[in-house]
Amino acid sequence: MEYGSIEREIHVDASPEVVYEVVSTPEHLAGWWPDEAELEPGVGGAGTFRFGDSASPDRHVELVTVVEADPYRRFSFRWVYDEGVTAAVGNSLLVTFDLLPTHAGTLLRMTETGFRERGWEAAKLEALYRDHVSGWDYYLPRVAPYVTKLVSAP
Amino acid sequence: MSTVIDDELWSAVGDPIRRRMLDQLLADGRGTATSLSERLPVTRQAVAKHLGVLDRAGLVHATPEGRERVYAVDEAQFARAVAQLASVGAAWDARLRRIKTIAEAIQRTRDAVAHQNAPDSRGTHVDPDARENRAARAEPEN
Repeated sequence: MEYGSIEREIHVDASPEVVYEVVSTPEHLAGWWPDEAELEPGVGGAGTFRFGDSASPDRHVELVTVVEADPYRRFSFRWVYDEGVTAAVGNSLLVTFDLLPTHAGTLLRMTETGFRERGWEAAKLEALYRDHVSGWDYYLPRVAPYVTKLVSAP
Repeated sequence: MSTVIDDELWSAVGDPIRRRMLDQLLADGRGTATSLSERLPVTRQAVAKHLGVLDRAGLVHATPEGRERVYAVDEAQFARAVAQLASVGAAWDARLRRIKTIAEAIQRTRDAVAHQNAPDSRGTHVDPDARENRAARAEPEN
């Protein structure tokens, strides 16, 4: 086990085009992670992830910067860094999605690095954000409306 | 526990040599700088230095024995380090499951729409048996 990084993979029965869209666009990001996401999808694009209700005292806002945007193959971004700094190695966490086409769909590989450099507090913060969207009860009702919306779009 | 000590704990387990030392101490129950250096590609002096880092992070405890110090893993502190990362890993497992569900729902809907719009598009179908046969032939004989 590499204590400075986290690696996970999952097989998705959907094309790399669809998976790329889900991991990289703000409207989909908000479906599986933050409560609200704003993100310019190109390399160097800046954005924010908001966690928690706008009225809630434990609302968090994290800055995000896109590092790589290579459609249908790789999407990566840095997050958990302080305002006013440029996200780089040592001051942020780096999340990378690699998409590998398979017979039935896409093998999606996620790596998050920077824990060793960024330290324990960042890891605690990362774990904390799980709680906002961990329940299927919270998430499932959101899927159907926006799939419908997507399909009805021109 | 303060942030400074938390960061020390993180960098202590972040080093590959120190992780191998922890593995050995966990397997053997105890060890000295000399006994650990015999099975690692570093000098006894380097091992002693790494043990100092692990000690400061609370991951090992030393007991003087003769001329050497005998080290053992502090299991509570070690479990704490492992649990923290397991928690982040679990968060990602949940996120990836949600990505899967969303992407598959979109794919199914798009396939259905494509099928409605072009019911005769059979030409793109790939016979799965043909693929399996190719894969089987590609395997080495032994």
